Amino acid sequence: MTATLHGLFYWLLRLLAPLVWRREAKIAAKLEGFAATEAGSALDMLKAAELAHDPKLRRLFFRHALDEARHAQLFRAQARAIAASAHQTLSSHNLIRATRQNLFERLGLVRFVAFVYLAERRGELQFRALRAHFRGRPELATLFEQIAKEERFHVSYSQKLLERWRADGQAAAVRWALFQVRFDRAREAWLRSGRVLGDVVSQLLLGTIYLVVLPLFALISRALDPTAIGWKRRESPTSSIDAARRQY
Amino acid sequence: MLILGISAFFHDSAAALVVDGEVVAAAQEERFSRLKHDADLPVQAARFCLEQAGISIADVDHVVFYEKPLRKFERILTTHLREFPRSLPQFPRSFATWLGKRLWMKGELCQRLGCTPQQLLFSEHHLSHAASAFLCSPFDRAAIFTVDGVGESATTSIYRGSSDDHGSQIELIEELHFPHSIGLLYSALTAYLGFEVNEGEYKVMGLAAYGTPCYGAKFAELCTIADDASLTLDLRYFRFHRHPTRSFTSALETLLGPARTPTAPLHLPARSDDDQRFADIAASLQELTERYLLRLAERAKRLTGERNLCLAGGVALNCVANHRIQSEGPFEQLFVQPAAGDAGGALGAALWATHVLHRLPRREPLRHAFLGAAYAEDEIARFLSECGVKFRLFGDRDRVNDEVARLLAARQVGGWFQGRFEWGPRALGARSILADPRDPKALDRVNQKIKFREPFRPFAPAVLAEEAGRWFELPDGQPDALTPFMCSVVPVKQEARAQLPAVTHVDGTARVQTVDRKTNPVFHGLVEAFRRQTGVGVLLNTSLNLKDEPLCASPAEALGVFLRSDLDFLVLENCLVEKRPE
Ligand SMILES: [Fe+2]
Ligand SMILES: [Fe+2]
Ligand SMILES: [Fe+2]
Repeated sequence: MTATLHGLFYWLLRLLAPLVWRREAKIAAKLEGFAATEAGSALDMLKAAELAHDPKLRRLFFRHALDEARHAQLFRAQARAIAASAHQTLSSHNLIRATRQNLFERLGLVRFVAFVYLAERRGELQFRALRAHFRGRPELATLFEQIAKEERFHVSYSQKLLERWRADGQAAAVRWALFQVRFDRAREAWLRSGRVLGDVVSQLLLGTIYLVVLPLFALISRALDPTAIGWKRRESPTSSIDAARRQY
Repeated sequence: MLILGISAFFHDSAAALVVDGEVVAAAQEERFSRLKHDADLPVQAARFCLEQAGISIADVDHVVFYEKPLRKFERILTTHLREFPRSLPQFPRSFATWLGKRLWMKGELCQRLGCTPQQLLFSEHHLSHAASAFLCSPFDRAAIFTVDGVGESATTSIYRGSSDDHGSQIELIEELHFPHSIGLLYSALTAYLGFEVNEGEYKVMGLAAYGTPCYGAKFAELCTIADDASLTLDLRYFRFHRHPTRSFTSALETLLGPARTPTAPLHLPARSDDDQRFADIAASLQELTERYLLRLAERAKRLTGERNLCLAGGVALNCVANHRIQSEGPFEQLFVQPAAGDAGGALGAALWATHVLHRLPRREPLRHAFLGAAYAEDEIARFLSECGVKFRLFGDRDRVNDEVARLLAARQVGGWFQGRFEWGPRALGARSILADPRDPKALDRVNQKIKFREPFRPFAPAVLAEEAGRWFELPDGQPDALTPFMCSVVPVKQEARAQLPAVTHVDGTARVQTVDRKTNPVFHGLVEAFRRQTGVGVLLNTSLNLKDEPLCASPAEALGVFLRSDLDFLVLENCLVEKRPE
């Protein structure tokens, strides 16, 4: 059953790839996005290595963190190369905007490993699909191939951990953890789409307010407002606690 | 009296805890979140500060936010009105943030920090900057000026600070208002030169040394500096006040030529006309900044009559300008707090509430910047062995120092992780990458294989305080209030330049850090060991991180840097990890 679903997902990715990975600029931006995701998971794995108690887990998480950090660098280098050759600036930002989600602290060990397992499995599938899609571009095909191979290791070690816990009599806990992670993922996707829609609506609304309500106030403000040029003097900032309580 | 200061939601967020006037802990959120320049509410940094003191948020007398949010909102609203209709691109975005979050900041602070509304106080942005400098300084009285992009609405302010047994006063004398700001001018040109704002300013400073300030006449069109040191920007060239992402207009490109794209190669010494043009623009900008700050210093002197000066705000991180104010300005001494940027606002807010609001007398000035988290040696050793990393554990400090000095003298480059991490943007010997300053190849090696950064950026020397005058042209021939925090750039002595090629910039200067035996004993021990072996009490010192990452906080992060770069060794407390053990 899972294998079939997996196969379906793989072909879906293959079908969508030409739509998503169209222009050079888009490819560069997507790779930059991958770099941020990988860097973010490197941070989470590093934190897990710091917090885990079991030496074996520590070692696995630490190695995993280094892999993800390297993936981030590889994706980023490729993104830059493509952006530069397409005479595009990637963005005004030079930094990878990675965020750690503090997953280990938030989820606890079993759910964290369940998360790693599911996320890595999806990642591996995605990179394999992209390797196939980019077979005409060796620099990208090799990149995805190399990274997919390492993701395979992440899938297998996390899977083995889950299996070991299952065999140790924690089958229910593992099942529950996998369910929770899947559920969270679906809920997050739902919330995200809601947020995107909400953002669009609020931007439109604020844009309308700007054009309808602001003109009058803009005129008044220009008429009243003294110029900002030159030194200004005002009361020295007060040193009473009451004044300090105010946000104004 | 327990006061927690918080700065957030703009550039670098941070938390600082002051207990009865003593700074117990201070840290930027980026060190914990690992997101460089993280501006989110510093929940983890605040938690660290409280843990460091062994207290909970309920024990704190006040949580002081470093600015007045509603005053900032007023400035943003009036700017939108004044710029109508050209502010349309920015309006929906900025208002969504304000209406959705910022206006309810009190609730957010209480909810995420766990404090109550009664505990909350609000300082002012530039007042927090001013307090962070003056109340950490060694002066009882001083003129203070604060210069940054923008606070609530002020961009430049002059204060006078004074302290006695009955507390302190910080009196505002005058201020310049948004959008007329040297900080925003610097940022806009940083973006024009293809670097990221709030990150690339150091690169502009490094670049400036390769150019000549021949754009003076054109810069005179961008902004005018009046005799009274007020500055006016010509807004035809800028749009940081009305556009969400692009801070300059096409008029600026007409004036100075096309802007540099961030990914375009930049070779220095220049290989193309454009390389040289960008270096010249950087040099002109730097020259203008220095000239402006000097005039400001003169004004502050005239208005306050004080002998000493404290300087804060992001512009105070311009170490080249700091040195000029120190050596050419009208003040006897200058002090810059190590976290001069917005992170420092957290510390300033806490000190302001302590000494100005509650009138507690001041304690010791800030003598060192080691206010972050430390990790126990056994914890580190356990982590290393559990990660399967081979290391040598030394019984005592002297043996570590001797061994590390030997490795450095053998031209190895290593990471150095000791004690509590630094407050502020610079590595001062707690989280450092070190190399032999005599090694002409060290610069390229550290830039290209370890830090992965632009080859035109220089590295700083850390020198034994007692030996500083031998190598560097210090204003009075000896360390001052700036050098322990690496806050000024000074000339390297002519005869020393050939001996210290790795830390001498192309213009013969260096951003020197003096290492004092009393305030920085661990690092002093190492530099001293290096001096014993080589006769040179200087090390190349740069921050322990990779490009785009914040300074390392924990041993795991340091090990991550070590394994992902070309570092030869890493010292964590007394544990030595080597790539290729002999
Ligand atoms: Fe990965
Ligand atoms: Fe992975
Ligand atoms: Fe500021």
